Amino acid sequence: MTVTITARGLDVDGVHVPLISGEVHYWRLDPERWSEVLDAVAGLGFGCISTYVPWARHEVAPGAIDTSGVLDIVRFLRLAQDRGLHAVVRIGPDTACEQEDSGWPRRILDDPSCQALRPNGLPYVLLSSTGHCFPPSYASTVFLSEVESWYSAIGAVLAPLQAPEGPIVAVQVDNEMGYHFQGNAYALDYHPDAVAQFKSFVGDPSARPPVDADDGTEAERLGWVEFREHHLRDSLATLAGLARGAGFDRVPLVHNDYPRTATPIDTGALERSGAVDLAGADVYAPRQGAGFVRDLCRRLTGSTRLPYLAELGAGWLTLPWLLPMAVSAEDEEAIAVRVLTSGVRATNVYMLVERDRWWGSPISADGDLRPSAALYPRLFELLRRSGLDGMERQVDVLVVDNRTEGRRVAGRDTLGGIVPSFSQLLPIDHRLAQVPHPDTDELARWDRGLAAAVGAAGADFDRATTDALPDLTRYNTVFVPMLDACEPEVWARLRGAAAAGVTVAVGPRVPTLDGRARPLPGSFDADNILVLDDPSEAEAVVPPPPFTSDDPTVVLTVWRSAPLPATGSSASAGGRTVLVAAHDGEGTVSVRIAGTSAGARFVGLWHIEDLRADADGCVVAELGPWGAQVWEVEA
Amino acid sequence: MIDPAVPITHLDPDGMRRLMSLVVQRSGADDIQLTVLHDAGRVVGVVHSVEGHVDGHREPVSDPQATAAALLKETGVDRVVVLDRPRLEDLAAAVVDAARWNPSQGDLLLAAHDLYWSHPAVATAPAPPLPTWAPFRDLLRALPDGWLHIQVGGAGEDEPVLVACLRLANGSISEITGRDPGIEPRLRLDLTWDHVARIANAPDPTAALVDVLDEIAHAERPDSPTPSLTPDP
Repeated sequence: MTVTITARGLDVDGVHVPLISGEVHYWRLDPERWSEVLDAVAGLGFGCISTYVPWARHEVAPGAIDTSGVLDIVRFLRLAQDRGLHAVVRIGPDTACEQEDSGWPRRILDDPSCQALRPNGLPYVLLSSTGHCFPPSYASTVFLSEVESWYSAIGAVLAPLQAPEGPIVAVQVDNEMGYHFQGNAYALDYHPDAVAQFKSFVGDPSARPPVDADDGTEAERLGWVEFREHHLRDSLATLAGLARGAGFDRVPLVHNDYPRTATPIDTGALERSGAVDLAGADVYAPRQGAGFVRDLCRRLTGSTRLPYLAELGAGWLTLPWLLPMAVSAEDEEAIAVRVLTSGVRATNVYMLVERDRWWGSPISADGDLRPSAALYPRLFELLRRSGLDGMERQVDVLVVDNRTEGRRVAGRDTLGGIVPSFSQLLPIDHRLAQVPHPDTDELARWDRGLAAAVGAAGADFDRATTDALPDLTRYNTVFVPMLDACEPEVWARLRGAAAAGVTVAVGPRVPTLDGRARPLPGSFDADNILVLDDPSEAEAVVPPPPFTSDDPTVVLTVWRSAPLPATGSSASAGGRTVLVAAHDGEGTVSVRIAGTSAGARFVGLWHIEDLRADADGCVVAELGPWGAQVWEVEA
Repeated sequence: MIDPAVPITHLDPDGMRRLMSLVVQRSGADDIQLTVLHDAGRVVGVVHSVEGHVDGHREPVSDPQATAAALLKETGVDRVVVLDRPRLEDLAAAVVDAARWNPSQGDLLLAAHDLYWSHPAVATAPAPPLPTWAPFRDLLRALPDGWLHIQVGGAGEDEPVLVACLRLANGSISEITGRDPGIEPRLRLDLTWDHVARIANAPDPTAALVDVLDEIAHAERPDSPTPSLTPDP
């Protein structure tokens, strides 16, 4: 490959290129305005654009596409290249973006052999922005053959534009695929080709996929839930293979997960599987969603090689009857600063340029800058001044999701035959689709409780899943909720880390069952592993963080340029230190931050003027509602 | 009602933000509902819309309508829904059928509403809610083809905060834009934010929209015996 993924961005023929892009949809803009729009994008400091390439808009007949006029993507990308802009192209087959058909050609959606099926044999009704459709089964061989034709056609046009000759530095395969696989374990996909894959996955030609929480044994249900995860990854691997075959062989293939962290979605496991070269996630939230966004970022930093927020919201879609959300420039700033100082090193501002069915972008469809555009040069300046690109976030704690127990929760789903894509379609409370069980509540309590306890200790942390464990020896302390089931390999990893000196804490129980909930006596020796009775006990186990705040609504993130110091040592011990303080709440707080030496200088990199630490090595800073401050700390 | 291919362009960000804020506010003010899921009378789950899963109300269901009425009285919630799990499969098939035959999303949502609340798998107390999309459909059908110019502002606003020009054809919205389309509109509507808030906060927003529009039309033509939206001459 000419372009490769690094821990900081992209390597294009030996040159570091940050993967920080802005979304621009050529086919939704007046081609006469493309130049002005791209000038505005480059003028804000972006070095890269991203665009969907929608199958349904380009296709004029099966296998034949139109790339003229408003669909002249070659001209568009050449104009971008003329301005020094790289490009990420998102070739589908799903290209969503508020298209009434999500970018799948209507002939595909209407073909029963392509449709994903529920357990009752009915197609799934997806509300898609202004329309609705029966989305395809990604196991359908007919569908995949159609995708191959589309990739082949668009590959012939775009493959010559891969770097270094052209501007394309990455190709996105499909879009938020997990969204179309539905969270409910028994909703999808029972297409005959998917069922055949399931039989092969479980190694039993006579296996029948379970269709509800009380169907079959728990081991069989877990096999199905696990298959759904495998199917998602395998489908992306198949699409990636088709994309490579269509000529996209010099740049990384990427994917953006739907922002859901339960089965079947697992961004880290997706990347680990090798289906794509880089797996990221999308997020849209007003400032009140900062906690969710931080959690998602922690999952990316804990489990992917290049933490990539593939869609970072700017503006919102114009569909108040379907997905109302009010976002402002203040929301966008609050979220963007948290994202870019949380360890996420690659992102895509979506939508940087406004288009059909979208409002509030920083750049209008004519290329005019709106007031909210002023944020982006400031963000680039923050990244430049802070030097975060060359620094490491100091994080000593890892909180792990127990995916085996998560699959057991999913296995208790019901109503897979009817659970709707949106409550506007059928007002069935989605919680009814989860049959209550004490272990479901217990797992949720531990998931929430561990993160809360670590946060209460003032410690920054990463997140990962048992299916995509990072190198555990990177951390001082690892927490895993553990009820009864765990893959023996995962337990062995935890014990290995504990033997290597990592504090490994689990709770409330030591497992006795394997990944399919089968008894496995003697496999879960808890030597060297700390067993907690309550998640709140985690607070006492967490190593002391380098900086502390006296306000629990202020979250601190520490970056260092030198190798990480021993846990608990002063943050001012050598190298550059950058400190981020984010206030997750309304009102203004006056926060006292401790952790450096007397007289240390806090050089303001974002909003605030410089501060000087008092005799106790503390500073007092004012943080507005959902405000954030960034300082370089000079001891 | 709304053409699936409808372009929606150039809407003012500040006006959209205010509109979205109202809709978000409204969406958080739903009635409190208790939903019981049963299978041949055996209760499988009970969900309170605020409290989530609840342990109580596990008495076997023999007469779903009577159960709904009794729980409404007993719990004091705004609505009780009793769902029959096996029979929901029939409803699922009916909704798929509706999706096949209704090209517009609004028509599908209206059809799904009617199917759900009238289906034997669904018992509820009090009586089923009104279909939100129906008054909107009726309103659109009553309007003439051409451009409808809606301006939201006034009542203390110096400038209109949100301008939306809607192109109507055969009772369906085929385009929405914040820019002057350069064609004289068949209708003009000046709304205040009070109007918009009234609509957004109403139990049935589309019915409230129709009320507001009729009210405006009547105010503009007080002599009209039957206030309704009519095209400019």
